[in-house]
Amino acid sequence: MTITAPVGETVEVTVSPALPPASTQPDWGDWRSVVGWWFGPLVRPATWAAAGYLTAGFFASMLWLAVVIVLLAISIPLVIVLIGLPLSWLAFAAIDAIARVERRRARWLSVEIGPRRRLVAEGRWPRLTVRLRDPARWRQAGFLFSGFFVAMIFFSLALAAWVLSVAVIGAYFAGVGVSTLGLQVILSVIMLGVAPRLTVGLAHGYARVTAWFLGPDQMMVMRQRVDTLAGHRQEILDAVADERRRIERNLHDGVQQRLVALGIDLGLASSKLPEDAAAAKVLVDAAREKARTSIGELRVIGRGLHPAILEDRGLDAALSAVVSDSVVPIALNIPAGLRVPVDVEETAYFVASEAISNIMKHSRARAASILVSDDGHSLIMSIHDDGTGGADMAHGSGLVGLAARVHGIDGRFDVVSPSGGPTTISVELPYG
Amino acid sequence: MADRPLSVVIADDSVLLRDGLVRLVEDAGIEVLAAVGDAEKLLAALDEQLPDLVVVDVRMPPTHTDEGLRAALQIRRNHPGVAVLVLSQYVEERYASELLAGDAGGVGYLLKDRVVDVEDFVASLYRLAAGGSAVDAEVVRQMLARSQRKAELERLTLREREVLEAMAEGLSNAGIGKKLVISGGAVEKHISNVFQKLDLEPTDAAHRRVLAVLAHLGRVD
Repeated sequence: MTITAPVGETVEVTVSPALPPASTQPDWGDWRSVVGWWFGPLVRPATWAAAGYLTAGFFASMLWLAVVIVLLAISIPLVIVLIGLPLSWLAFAAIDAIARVERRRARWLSVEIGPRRRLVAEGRWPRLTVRLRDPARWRQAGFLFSGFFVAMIFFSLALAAWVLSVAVIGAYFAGVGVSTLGLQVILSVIMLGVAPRLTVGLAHGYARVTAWFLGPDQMMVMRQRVDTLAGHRQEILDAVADERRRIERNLHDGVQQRLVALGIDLGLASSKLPEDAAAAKVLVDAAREKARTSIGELRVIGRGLHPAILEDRGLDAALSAVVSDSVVPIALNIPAGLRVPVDVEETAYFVASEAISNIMKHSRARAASILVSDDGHSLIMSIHDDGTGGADMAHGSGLVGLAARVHGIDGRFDVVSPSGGPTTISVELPYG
Repeated sequence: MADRPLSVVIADDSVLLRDGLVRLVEDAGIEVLAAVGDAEKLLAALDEQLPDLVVVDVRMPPTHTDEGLRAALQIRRNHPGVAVLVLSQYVEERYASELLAGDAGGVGYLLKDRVVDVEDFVASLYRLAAGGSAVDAEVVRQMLARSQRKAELERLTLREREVLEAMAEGLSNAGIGKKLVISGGAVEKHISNVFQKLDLEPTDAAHRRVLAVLAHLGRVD
């Protein structure tokens, strides 16, 4: 049985508690600022989103618990009499659906919970057992049981804070508790500040609990990363093999043939020389022309393989020459004297020069631009042309090779090229 | 110069090409004082005896990057009287700019391929030794393409552009006329148009003209 995970899917693991920004310190000398700071959360949408999230979470978790208990209670004993199987499948489907709802709910708090990684297996039976053995699935089921208790506790705490903030005033008029209105008001004022903050905190706490149960587990994330890297390794191996084939073909079709022809010219010239010097000179001149063309061709191939200037003068100098050789005018915008690690420079150079040759060959562009910037952690490059577009990762094997090179150093590669143009290639190459 | 042959020191790490160059220049009546394989030996050879001209490959041991270029710059500084021709496998506008910064007199930067055109190559050697300059047409083309002064360059006619390129290569008026197959008068007219359109100070000295044109093209506003 094989268990594979699809490559290339992105998994979000970010749980970002977006606490309201205004919790910064007030100006203690200005009473208006202090009052605004203390009561501010009462009117902030984030507070009410959190309150709604927590309240709905409490009632929803009750419902989830009921659904799951009923489904599992019916299906598990019935597994023996085959009818339980479709029922337990139904139970799992319900759990999946509930998890989806909870993930969506978390967005009320601007918290993104990544999807559970699905295990994929070939064959009907393996598929079923994989599903049953999937730890993430059981974690999800676990959420539906324990989620209720967590929701109950969190919801009660928040509710208590709100009730207290209002009730202390009410208690005065009811004649219960502390009998000084002033003290009651002070308590109420304190609680009105505390309740919204507590609510937001609890809501985020609950979202964290949800994320732990429903989010992708670290083992799975790692496994997917390994799969992605294995995929990239294969891509690079393919790209290298393709490139070697292409170089061989270029050498074979161009320089090799021309040198053979040059040899023939010289051989003929040598045999003609004694009796017909004029004819020999024509042949020698032809041979010289072929030599000249061959040198030019080798130069193009050599510089494409590795521009020596990249090492001692950097990307700017290396790209300048490529850009100025282009028939299509290309605006190059790159920080002067930019130096980044050599594998990043080489990849950027490779991507840019391939993109330029694509632009010249296929795009029918009238103008193009290359914009390079560096934020200290990664090199960002975007290549834009106003051509006919329609560049396709599936068909353009050149683009696949470029993507492979970029992925090879853990970079990001994007192509936007609608039919009719324009085309933009964006790469981000991280270096630490 | 007529009474004494031109003398040259050649530095190239490829034995094949070095021997080829030696045969080529000796055939043209130029005396080879030394032919060496790296920058260190080149500088040592210059300490022995100063030639009129040095021909040096950009890439040489030990790092095979820009040793030749750095040696060339050092020679320019230490021995201003010695002309330097840098040969390069690739046209790199950046190398050329570094080399030509300051004074284009007696400085050349050519693609290695140009050796194949023996007559032109030898003519470049004599031009350099006489204080002229020799900038590869490819370099000039790169500078034109890279130039920020697109609007100014667009004002030039096709012929004026050709004249500008030939001028930047370091050709004399007669050389430009021969290359483009036009009369000396036509060359002069085109040149004055170019200088006027690019708002440059006219000058007759070919090497100062090269520098003016290249500096103008390379200038960033």
